[in-house]
Amino acid sequence: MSTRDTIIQTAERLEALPPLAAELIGLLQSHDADVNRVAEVIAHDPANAANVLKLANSAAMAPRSPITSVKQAVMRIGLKRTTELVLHGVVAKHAGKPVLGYDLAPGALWEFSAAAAIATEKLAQATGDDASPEAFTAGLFQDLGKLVLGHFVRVDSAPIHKVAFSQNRSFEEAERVVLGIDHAEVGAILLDSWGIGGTVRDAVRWHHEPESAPEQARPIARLVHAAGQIVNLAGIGGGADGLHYKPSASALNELQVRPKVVEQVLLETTSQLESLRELTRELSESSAP
Amino acid sequence: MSLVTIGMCEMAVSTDTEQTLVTYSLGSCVGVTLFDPEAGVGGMIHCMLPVSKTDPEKAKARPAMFTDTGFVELLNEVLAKGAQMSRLVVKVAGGGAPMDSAGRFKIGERNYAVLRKILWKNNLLIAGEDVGGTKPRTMRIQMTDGTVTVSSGGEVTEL
Repeated sequence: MSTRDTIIQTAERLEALPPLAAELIGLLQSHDADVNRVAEVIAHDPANAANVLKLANSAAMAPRSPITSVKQAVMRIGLKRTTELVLHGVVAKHAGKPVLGYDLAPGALWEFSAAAAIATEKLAQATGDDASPEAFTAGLFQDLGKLVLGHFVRVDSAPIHKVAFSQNRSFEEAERVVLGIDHAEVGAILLDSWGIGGTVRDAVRWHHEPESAPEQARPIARLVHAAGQIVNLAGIGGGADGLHYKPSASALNELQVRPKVVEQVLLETTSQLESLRELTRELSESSAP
Repeated sequence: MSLVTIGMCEMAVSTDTEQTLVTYSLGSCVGVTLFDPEAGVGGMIHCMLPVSKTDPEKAKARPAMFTDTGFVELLNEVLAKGAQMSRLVVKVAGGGAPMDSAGRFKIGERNYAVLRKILWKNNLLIAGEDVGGTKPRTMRIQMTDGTVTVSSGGEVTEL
């Protein structure tokens, strides 16, 4: 079996996405989400229901009286933050692992993913583009292919590194040379196996070549691409690949990403990432026995 | 021997010969170390953006976020701990940029330029540096003797 086939098979057989997250992503992608339905879905998942209640009752949300039902909690937090909380939990569970092949310390891929999702949203706001839930989700999931390659297949990144740096190829191009597949394609296969298709999957698939994305997914692929480059620039959750990527000039032109925008997005992203880290810590501490 | 990690937008000053200060994943950010071998005082900073005028409020709360306010803060702290300006050894790492970015992501270059300007104003020279390019860098300073190393992709270089 070729390396490419082994990788694809691993991605397809990876542990399934928790049903709650799959259903929430489905609801949001169909633009059909309403508080009742989301609350109903969350109420069936004890860990997430507990987190949503904890967040709704936290000092930051300052409820006037204690919130005891999941529906009240979702209403207090808002659909958007509720979904983000659940999705961050999914990524934290998977991306909290060390990704040895990419020289990523435990938690580094989570840091990158969380920051990239925030940056995708901030960039959309700064450039007046569509800050849809799909953009956030694609931003969050863009590098999950690295988890498959680096953690589950444990590819040796040394030859990839060598091809990338000695032949002046971008890192994902070097992945294709050495492995016959890159982390963007692997990520899309993983999402497919999780039942996540459409714009989110296509944006992840083409996040390094947004101009090749199907027309419908192209605007989000561009945002995800640029946001990923910005987060990478600051080295947030960075690994052996460093800054060895080629930003797409056409995507950056289309989005009118100027240096000022890059700095603004970085400032906003790092500060929101810090709040998210605190929230994650609080939620995990309060659930400890 | 203890390891003190300096996160992004953070700094630390030390006089403890048992310590090694380390900062990981320098991309376009700049890492700077200062060391006075006679006083045994040193410090390290990891700055993200070049100038504090981008967000003066944030700069007040977190000077290490910006190269201009951050470096001055680091300098003042090492001097306050007994270092002398004339003996300070300055080393720099980071300031990278993605491939073919055609000036769109110039943060690294600007971080380095701002730092050089402040160093020049203070009559400080750079004794060793590893800046620019696309590789990720980890920077360390050993407080025993001020040895600074930069590691990237398994290679370790002494500055």
